[in-house]
Amino acid sequence: MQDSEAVRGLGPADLVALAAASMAVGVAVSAIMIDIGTSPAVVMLATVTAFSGSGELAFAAVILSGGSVAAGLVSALLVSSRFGLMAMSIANRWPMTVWERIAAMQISGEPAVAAAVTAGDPRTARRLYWQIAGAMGIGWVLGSAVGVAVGNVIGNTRSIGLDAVFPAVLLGTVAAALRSRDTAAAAVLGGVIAVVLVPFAPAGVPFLVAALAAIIASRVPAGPLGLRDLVTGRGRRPAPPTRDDLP
Amino acid sequence: MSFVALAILSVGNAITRALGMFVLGRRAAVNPRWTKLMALVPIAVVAAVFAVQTFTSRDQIVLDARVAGVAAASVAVWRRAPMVLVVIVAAGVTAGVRALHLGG
Repeated sequence: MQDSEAVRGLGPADLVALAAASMAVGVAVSAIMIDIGTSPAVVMLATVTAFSGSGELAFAAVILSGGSVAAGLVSALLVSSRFGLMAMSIANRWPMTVWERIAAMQISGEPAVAAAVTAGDPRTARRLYWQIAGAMGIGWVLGSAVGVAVGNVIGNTRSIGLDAVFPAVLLGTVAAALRSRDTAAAAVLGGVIAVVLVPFAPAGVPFLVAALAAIIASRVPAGPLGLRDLVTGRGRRPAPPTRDDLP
Repeated sequence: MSFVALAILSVGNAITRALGMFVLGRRAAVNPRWTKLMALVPIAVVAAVFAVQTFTSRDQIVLDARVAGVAAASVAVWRRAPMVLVVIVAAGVTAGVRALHLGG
């Protein structure tokens, strides 16, 4: 697989941009947690021990709509369950000690995992993972501290377009992988399954069902998609190495 | 959220993560069929998170300013722009479309 776009362009400015975006999310999430009556100590602890902004938001959404704490926790755990799949997919990307495994699974986020699984070699995967997860983790904790200390200074994160930043970052980190038929199939199927399920399934469940797209996609042979070549008019790239386990 | 609720959430998350890292992930090393799955599962899940964050709001399918921002950012990605530019384009176009009241 080719190196992801992130490999080439990930300089200090990119890491600062990722940290800043993550920081803004931290401010907003922690300010909401304070608003629903959580003590500052619990909010700061949650930032590090739960390490799931989407999980905290899911909890707050249930509480704000009049739901019970138990229902909020179930929703938060379901939304965060995809991090188990994230940890699973990096478990063998590069050699890790037990302590590195624990640290890596705790701060895993989609952009870091996406970059690590699409990187060309284990060393690059490891470097990208820790750069992206580190930058976003630092931003997240700092932002959370700001949210706890002074409340929501960002205002509406939607008005500054922050809700489009994370999907865009995800696209940037997986783009290179989408040039092979099997990965493109996994991505398209996974995306469609999740969106179609959103109106019917509890929050978080669409991500788990979408993971099943990988089983179907694993039957698709690896090979160049060809779209990029058509668009750019360049010659066809050599096919990626075929995997041994294909029929 | 109380300390007890926080403890349940944190321990629950840690169990899920550890299950992935130490149980399911380790199986890939011995079973070659798992190796290809391991490469495709994160792509499917990341695409799912991407699609949900772009095309839905709470429990509804919604097309709003985010789609314009992400579409503009996808051009930046295609043109191999650095990540910082991708971030700025995504936020800028989305905020711009909202400011002009072209989309929610």
